Amino acid sequence: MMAAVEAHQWADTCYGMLLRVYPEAYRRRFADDMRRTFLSDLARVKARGGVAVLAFWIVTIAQAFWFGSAERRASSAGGPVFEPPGRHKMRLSLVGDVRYALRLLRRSPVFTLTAVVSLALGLAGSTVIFGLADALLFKAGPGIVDADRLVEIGRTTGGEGFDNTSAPVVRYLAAHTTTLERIAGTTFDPTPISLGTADGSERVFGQLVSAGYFEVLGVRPALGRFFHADEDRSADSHPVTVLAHRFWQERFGGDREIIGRTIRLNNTTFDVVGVAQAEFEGSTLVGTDLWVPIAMVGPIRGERGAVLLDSARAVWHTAVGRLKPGVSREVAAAELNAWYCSPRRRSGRSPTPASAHHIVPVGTPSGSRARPEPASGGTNPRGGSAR
Amino acid sequence: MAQTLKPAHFHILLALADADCHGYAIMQTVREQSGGRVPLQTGSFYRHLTMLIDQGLVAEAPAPKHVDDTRRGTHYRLTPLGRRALEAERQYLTGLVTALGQLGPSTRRSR
Repeated sequence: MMAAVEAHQWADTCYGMLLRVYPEAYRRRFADDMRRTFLSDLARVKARGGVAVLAFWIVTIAQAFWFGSAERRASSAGGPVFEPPGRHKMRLSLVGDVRYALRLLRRSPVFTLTAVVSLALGLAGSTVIFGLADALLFKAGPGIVDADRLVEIGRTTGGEGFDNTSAPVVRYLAAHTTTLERIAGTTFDPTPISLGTADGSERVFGQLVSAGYFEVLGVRPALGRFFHADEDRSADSHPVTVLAHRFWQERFGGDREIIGRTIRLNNTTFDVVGVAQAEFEGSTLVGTDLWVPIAMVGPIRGERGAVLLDSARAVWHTAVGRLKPGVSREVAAAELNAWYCSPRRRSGRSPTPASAHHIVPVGTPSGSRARPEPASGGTNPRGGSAR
Repeated sequence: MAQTLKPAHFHILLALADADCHGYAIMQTVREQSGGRVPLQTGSFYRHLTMLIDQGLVAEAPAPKHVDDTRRGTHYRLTPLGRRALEAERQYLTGLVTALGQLGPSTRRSR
């Protein structure tokens, strides 16, 4: 009996608290009456069992919040809401709100104009910025196949930055790697080159790349061929070039007889051996006009090609590689560093803190220049044992 | 005449037609006379009751002298306007029933 009385009081207290959802004026008028009615009704439902009581409470709580908030809206609007709450009424309320907002905006044309212009500028700016970011950083460049498996390979110093490496290191890594399908050297930025014309010269941009560069990216020639493996070996021996499709179209009018003809780059005669597929403009942010084998760095850069090609101290280009399916960048980094330490050890130059360079493959989701990522633990040069 | 009352409002007015009642008794009467087709709980019942009071169809009534159970709370009664609304509703429904009664036998069979 005592328990029943306590349960009754508990229910009364709970319902009293629930009624606080209603506005005060409404509570003053009906709360006592509602509590009596509720308790009588609860006593009736209790006879039907626990599940019925639970359902009864759920409906009671839902109704209190639903009708209580409706009464609050009605009282704050200055009058009762005669329509029962429902979808129809909510739609009317929304339409009313929109109409009210439009009336307010019409009444303040200067504010409206300012708001609309600000919004338009903001939206336009965001669209342009995100479009640029998408094109430059996220979207795969045209012609590049499976860009998510491409990595750019360079050196970091103490895990910081992303820097050029040397031609012998890239050749060595390309010959030994088992985690990447292929590695090819490439200069980070296109180099300005003088293209000889009938009446003088004009400036074009060219990128120095290894023979396998196009194959790493999955690009195909639109015309002719790309570089043979022996064309990037010995300095200054194979003056050949591949033209970008756009450059071929604009500068040579899309002349299909261009293959086998010669052009003069920095006063050296180069054979045009191929035209890259349409829209492909290189793997860097800045497009390029043509590609030249890395072994032709001498005439292109005006430096001693033999030194640049054979000295591990000459760090002047990076590389691109394609991860084998299922291989992570971390695994590839660990393997490349193991190989990287190997020739250094063999030549009697063990890594020291002062020369704490190590190889880092960074993602090139766009097939374009990517920011280096912080090196993972596996890329520690001293952690990578010689193999 | 078009129907003007919602089912819950009609049943509440109908429950008050014979005598003044307190809230719980009205609610129970509505449940019984509608055969459970008008589901009412305290929240929804007082929502409808408030509307009827605001429309002037129902008003608070003094508790009848012979009822000594003060726990039952406020009593409510039909106002003259409420009685007229109920009468209009009765005429409307009677008209409907008459119209249904004039339907042909084939229609009745198919129902």
